[in-house]
Amino acid sequence: MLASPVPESLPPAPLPVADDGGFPTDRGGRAWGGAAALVLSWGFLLALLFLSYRRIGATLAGPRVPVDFWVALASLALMVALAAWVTWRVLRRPPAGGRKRGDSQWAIAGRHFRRNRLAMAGLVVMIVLYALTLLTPLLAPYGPADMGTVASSGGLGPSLHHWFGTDKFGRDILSRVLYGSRISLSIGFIAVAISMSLGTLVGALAGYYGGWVDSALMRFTDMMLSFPRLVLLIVVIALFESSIWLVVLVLGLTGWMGTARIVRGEVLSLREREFIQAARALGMEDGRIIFRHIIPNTLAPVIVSATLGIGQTILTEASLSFLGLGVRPPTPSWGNMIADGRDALTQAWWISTFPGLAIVFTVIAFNLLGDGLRDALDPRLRT
Amino acid sequence: MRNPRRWSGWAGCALALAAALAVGACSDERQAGGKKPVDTGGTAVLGELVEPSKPMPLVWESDLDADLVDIMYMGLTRPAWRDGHLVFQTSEASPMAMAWHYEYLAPDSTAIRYHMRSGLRWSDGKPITARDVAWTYRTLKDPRVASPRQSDAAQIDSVVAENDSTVTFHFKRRYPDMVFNSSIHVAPEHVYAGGDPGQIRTHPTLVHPEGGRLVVSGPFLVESWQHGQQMTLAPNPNFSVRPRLARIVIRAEKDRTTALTEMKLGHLDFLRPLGFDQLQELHEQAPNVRVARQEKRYYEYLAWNPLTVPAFRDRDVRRALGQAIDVPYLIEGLKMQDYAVPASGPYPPIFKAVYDSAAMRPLRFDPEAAKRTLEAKGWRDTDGDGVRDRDGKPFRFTLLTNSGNQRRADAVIIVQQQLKAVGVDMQIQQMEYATASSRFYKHEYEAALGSWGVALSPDFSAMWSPRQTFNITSYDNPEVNRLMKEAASQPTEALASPLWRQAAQKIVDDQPYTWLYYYDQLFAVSDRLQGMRIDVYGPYQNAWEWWIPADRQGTPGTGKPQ
Amino acid sequence: MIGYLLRRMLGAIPLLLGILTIIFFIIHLAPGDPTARFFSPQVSPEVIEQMRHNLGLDQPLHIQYLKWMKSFLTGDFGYSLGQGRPISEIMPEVLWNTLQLTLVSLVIIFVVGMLIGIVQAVRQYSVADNVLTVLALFFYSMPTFWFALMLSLIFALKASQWGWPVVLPSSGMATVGTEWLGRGAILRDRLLHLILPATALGIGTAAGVARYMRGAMLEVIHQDFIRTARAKGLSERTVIFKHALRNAMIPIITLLGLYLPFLLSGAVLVETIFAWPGMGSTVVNAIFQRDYPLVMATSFVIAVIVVLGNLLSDVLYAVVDPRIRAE
Repeated sequence: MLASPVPESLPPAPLPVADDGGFPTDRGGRAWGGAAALVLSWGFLLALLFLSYRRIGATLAGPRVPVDFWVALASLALMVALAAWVTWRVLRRPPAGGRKRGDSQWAIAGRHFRRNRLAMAGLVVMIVLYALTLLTPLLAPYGPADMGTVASSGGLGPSLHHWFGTDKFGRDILSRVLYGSRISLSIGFIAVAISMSLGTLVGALAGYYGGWVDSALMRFTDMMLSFPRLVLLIVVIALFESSIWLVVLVLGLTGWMGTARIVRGEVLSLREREFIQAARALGMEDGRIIFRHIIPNTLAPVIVSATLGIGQTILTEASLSFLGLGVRPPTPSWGNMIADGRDALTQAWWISTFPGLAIVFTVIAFNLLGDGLRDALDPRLRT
Repeated sequence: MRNPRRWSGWAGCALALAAALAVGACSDERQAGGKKPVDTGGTAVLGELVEPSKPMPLVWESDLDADLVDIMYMGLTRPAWRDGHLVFQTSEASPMAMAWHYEYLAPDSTAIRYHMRSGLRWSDGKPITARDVAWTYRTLKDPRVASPRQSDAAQIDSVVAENDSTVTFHFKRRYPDMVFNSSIHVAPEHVYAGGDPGQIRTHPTLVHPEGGRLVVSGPFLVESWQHGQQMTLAPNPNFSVRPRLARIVIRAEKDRTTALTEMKLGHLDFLRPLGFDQLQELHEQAPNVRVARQEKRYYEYLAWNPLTVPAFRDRDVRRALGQAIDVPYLIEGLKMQDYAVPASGPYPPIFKAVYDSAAMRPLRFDPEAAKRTLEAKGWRDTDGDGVRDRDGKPFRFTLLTNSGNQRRADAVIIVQQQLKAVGVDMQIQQMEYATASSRFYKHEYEAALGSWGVALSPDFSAMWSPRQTFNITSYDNPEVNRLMKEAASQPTEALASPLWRQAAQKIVDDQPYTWLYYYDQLFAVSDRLQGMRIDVYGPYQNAWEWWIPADRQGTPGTGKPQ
Repeated sequence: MIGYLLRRMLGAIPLLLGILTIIFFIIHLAPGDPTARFFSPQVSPEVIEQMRHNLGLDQPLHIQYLKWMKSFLTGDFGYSLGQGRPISEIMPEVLWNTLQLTLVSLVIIFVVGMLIGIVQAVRQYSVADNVLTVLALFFYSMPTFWFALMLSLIFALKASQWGWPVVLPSSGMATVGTEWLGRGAILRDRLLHLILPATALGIGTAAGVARYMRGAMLEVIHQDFIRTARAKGLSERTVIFKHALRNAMIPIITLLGLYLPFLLSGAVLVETIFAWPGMGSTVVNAIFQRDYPLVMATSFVIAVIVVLGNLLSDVLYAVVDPRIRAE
């Protein structure tokens, strides 16, 4: 028997369709949360500095410093500076009050977003992931391709020396998961950047010009949509040499159709709005109208679909790597690590399990973030 | 690591192996010597990672097809591998031979006459005659058929059916492989004659071989075929010997891991190929499965392409790269200790009689010597990035190998690591098989890792003569060319062998490849399937003699492993 | 309605031809060759050349394209180069195999997804709701192939080691030997073989459906007619399953058609892992073997299914929502 859990005093207006969480929050909790976050990030940075100063010294003294090491150092410096700035602002300003917030679209969305705990969690996880990716050369205990001797250090289970165990060559899984995050996260980011730009452009052109431009572009979009993406990707990548750039490019070029449709819909309604009519009456060029007035006003849904798209792209890239069509070995990517461990699943579960979990958590973070952004940015969904 | 209990069958065989006898021979002996009765009936389920496609002597496509042809069609003689040599059995020794006797027309004649048994019948009841033999060879030579075995007929001038049971082969010249080349499986003329030879691959009996429509002469015919799943073979009632098994089911396994699972669960009686990395798992979890091997007919190599990487033109540099690679370590890392030996040249150990590859010392692992050679050749690390360079160019190249082969994928990673230790930067590129192999043959690669399964004849001129497709390193040594030409024109194997040996030594001196290891092909066999003979001639060769004890004949899929 | 359907179908024809043309040129221009599997030191290059000639691969590309187009338009897909039999024979087999898999997983998707969504909506903000939300998100964010691996590890491999009463088969469509048993045994065997692949294929999408269902249900539950129904004193079961569910299902039903391309993509990986001889594994093999006619034919069928799926979702939308029919 299903009891009625719905209280009688609900507002008559429909609730948001896709709200996640929406737990009540109180300001005190937020303040404590902020403080805890600050303490945690300082702790992390200091621990990292303490643990890696020797390695930094050794590497800088070495004959040649790899580029990613410089990037890691620069990121570290930047993070310390950022943490210092935030701390200074928090300490200087009383937690409540302050100057009145502006009421722009983005400010309102920001307020809504900050209220959504799950989405904030997603954001934090995402920031932490990108930070880890940048700092990998400082964090990873071993190089991604460092092998021990196969006989003594291959296939070891998780232990204090190797938190996630080692694979059959004696390579440290934790280090490889960390290095693999670079591939997954940057492929996701770049491919989605490509597909969002393309989708926005196609959608804006189709919506703005209408007529044959619209029908030609939308026919093409339909055509691309009528093909299962994975099959198309396999065709293209299996047929040409697989390299990371091909994967990025192909993922980017096959992921824009949804965005194009959304943007077109937005543009169709924007086109008839007064400010666009006015711009036209003023004799502005089409290109200027599209780029200055139309596209900025369609950004909200694009950002949402980009965030959700990164998660999906990471999954797709992993599937391709799993099929042996992604990144070349020995460069680790989460997908090819799972494929590597597949044959040894019964004896060495850790090889496939940890990269798999890394994928799951990353994608969860992006999905939470995307859902939160959608709730925050779409006025129709706001309570 | 070795579990003595599971390997007991093997230990008994080790001595026999030293005398170059294959595993199957041992189990046969045991059968003959032991008093155990042989039961008939039962179904054997074989797992294969490829699907059968056209089991017909003229147009077979894969190794599996070739194995099926071997148990579905008879030839004039039945080749077999004994003591490092091919022998040709007549019907006295094998029910698969159609000829009871053959003779050279004169001591140094270029013609051989075969006398066929009487009463031979195709599976559809029509008699097998000498005309079928003549037709098979005529069709084989027809370029429109594009048979993969066309080269076997290259030296044959004509095949004449003198009467229903006598056939004479006239060769263009006298050479050692005359009997081998006339032992091809014979196809039925009355089924295929008259059609367009270019379209023979889409002949109705090949598209739908099931229900016995594919007319065969050997012990088995195709009973049913669910494409993508399994092919069922049943005994051919017109074959002279009744197979002991009631059925053989060949399952198309798509994935090596699930296939291994099926094997462990006892759903399969046989599985190939078995990866070296799967051995330990099999030993630990499936006591009812034994590992059988086909002796070292294969070798894995690194090929250095001098056309694309100038540094590879120098023999000493190639040699240094070979010295940088620790082959015993590689063998251990790939978990193939018991099934591979370091390789030294183009003849794997099965050719002991021609060329003792064990006597030829493999290149020794010596990174210091490798470094010295590279230094001496001007490759020094001047900018401190860990990679040697000369004239401002780093020693960097890309190694191409095919994807979908776990052993090779693992091997390249270890090789990469070892070359890095001597300051050579090797990038890895994997392409799927079709693309990678066409790159090899077009010389569009820098370095390659691949393997060859050698033909059973010592003639390797297809691989080391200039401008041959399979000479992927464009190897061209006038001295070797002369030796190969001379060897190929010797009338007998005894005269040709020393010349092949000399040619092989010269090739090894030049190191166009770095030979890595000779390795066995492994199969998993369940303990209920008896009587399998496995040697270089493949695991299916005596399928009509396989049997399953009566008390274990239930369908394997339904029983659980004990 | 029928006029609309016809218009849509006609509009799909140039779309399909466009897809096929693109695929044709991509696969023919790519490196590799269907005869590559014959390469071996024993096969002479002349033989390979002759094979290429027999297959018509030595002709200029545009001629090959016109030839293929002509035979395609006359309904002849040709012979598969890899399997050596007419594609008109292969296609129904693999299509039916994939349909069995997709249909079973569609059932899983909708039954499981909708039930979870309803429970979540009815008990909004309860512990069950939060747990299910997290679980759904977890499955939704999981790579299909990884989940498939874990399933076969636990329910096929470990199950036998641990001596579980039921060990699910993890490969193929049938156990050897069942073909000689009765009809019931064959059906049971097939269903057992379907469990793991259909679950692997459906679970992520089911999680997605649950999310939609929760949203749709919540929207409906707070509407006036539900309050009226409750006020009339109808039992909660009737209110939820009869009044609310029927309205909340409208957006869900339309998803049915849209999930087809999704499922077909997933089927590529799942069929490969579980050795299910369907469209997905066929297309992957065909690509790797450069089996040009088979790649073209499977691409065509997949595209047709997707177009039909889109059409189906439109039609369903019209069927379940009378407002649209009236237009």
